[in-house]
Amino acid sequence: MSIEPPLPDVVEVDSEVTLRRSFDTPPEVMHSLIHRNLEHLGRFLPWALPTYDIEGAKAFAQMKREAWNESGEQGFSIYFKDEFVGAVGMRGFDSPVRAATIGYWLSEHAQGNGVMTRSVSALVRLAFVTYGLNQVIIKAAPTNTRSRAIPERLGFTETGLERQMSKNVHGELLDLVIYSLLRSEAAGRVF
Amino acid sequence: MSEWPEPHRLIVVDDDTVLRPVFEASADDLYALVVKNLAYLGRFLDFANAEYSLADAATYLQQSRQNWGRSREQAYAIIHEGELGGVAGLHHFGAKNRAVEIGYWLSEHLQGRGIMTRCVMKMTEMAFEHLGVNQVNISADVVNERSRAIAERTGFSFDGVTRQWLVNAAGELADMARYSMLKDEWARWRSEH
Ligand SMILES: CC(C)(COP(=O)(O)OP(=O)(O)OC[C@H]1O[C@@H](n2cnc3c(N)ncnc32)[C@H](O)[C@@H]1OP(=O)(O)O)[C@@H](O)C(=O)NCCC(=O)NCCS
Ligand SMILES: CC(C)(COP(=O)(O)OP(=O)(O)OC[C@H]1O[C@@H](n2cnc3c(N)ncnc32)[C@H](O)[C@@H]1OP(=O)(O)O)[C@@H](O)C(=O)NCCC(=O)NCCS
Repeated sequence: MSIEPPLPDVVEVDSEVTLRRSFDTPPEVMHSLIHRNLEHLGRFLPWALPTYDIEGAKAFAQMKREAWNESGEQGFSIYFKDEFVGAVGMRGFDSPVRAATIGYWLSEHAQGNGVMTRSVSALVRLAFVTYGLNQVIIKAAPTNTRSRAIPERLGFTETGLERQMSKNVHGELLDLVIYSLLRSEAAGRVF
Repeated sequence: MSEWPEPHRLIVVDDDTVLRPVFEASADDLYALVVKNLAYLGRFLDFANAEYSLADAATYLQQSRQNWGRSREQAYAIIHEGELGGVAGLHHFGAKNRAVEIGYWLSEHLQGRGIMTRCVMKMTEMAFEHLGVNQVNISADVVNERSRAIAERTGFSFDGVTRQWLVNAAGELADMARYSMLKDEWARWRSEH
């Protein structure tokens, strides 16, 4: 099922931050940034493995290109002052209860500038304004303080846990804290 | 880790109650039981609506047969004193994290005797000890107190409320209470009960 209206190729978040379809980032560039951040990302994400190589990056880009604007997860690369620094994705466009889930990662060196908070705001806007969705959900491990700070900064409500539902590269099972923002709560606020 | 053992075909729950694969029940019996309980079930289960037909019952049984042992769904008929009294099933098998969810309904006339509580405990036991899952989940509309009481009575942890996650009988979004039990918690519960 295709997403209607079609997703934008580019989202201008503000004068410093731009989102582009993830497969528009050359696989070499994607690979290089992830490779430099394996340890940083692997603490909370299952896929940032030492075995990740250029071929993997190419295959991933191809898969995402083919699935663009379909119902699964749609990913954007984040550019901060024209430099590729991370990614943010959203799924749930076809959810029967109209709830989207957002996930993200940022290069270690690009942290601390509000890049992710701003990028997530842009997707929240997209979810509510463009797609008329009812809810946006963000999940983060209890010890992932930086990740949790993003929904907290944006006024999401913590609604509970999903226990042992995530994994890191070391195979450790991680709980996820669930945050949600309802359309009714976002109304009248600036995102 | 996506291989699951063949599920049991007979589970003895108590002196009067056994679980058998739901597809061994007849569509006529299932249809009759659902229709008898239509308004009561319809409060929380969307299949139980005015359009429910004998063909729906037959389709459901056929799908359950196809799904059996393929780890998509394992639904059991609750046979109480030789008669179909409800359904309890495992679904949402997560191959990645080896989690499974239990869902259930019981005819109104059999409520209040602890039948479902015992069925859920047996299904939980099977999930951990036979299927080797890591986690069992139960979820219910926040206002479904009887259903929540089962999870609470059987030692599940309350994990929170997912907001506006279910569509209720009135077509409105409803909040969902979530409960879970982990493997080590099961072992502890087991040794204490
Ligand atoms: C989670 C992650 C994206 C958070 O990165 P981050 O840099 O902390 O988040 P932001 O880009 O929103 O930046 C917020 C910081 O910028 C500051 N900031 C500066 N300008 C800001 C602005 N305009 N708006 C918001 N914050 C701003 C904030 O005060 C905050 O700083 P602090 O952490 O010192 O308090 C990053 O740590 C990461 O990718 N981690 C590894 C992968 C991961 O865990 N992913 C999530 C899995 S759930
Ligand atoms: C949810 C549902 C199965 C609960 O039925 P139930 O009869 O309350 O559950 P049980 O069979 O476990 O019985 C528990 C009751 O029996 C009592 N009881 C008697 N002997 C008992 C025993 N040995 N052990 C446990 N409870 C016992 C309990 O005190 C409890 O009664 P109470 O609620 O008055 O305190 C039933 O209400 C139902 O099917 N509802 C409609 C469909 C539905 O909502 N399904 C769940 C969707 S998430």
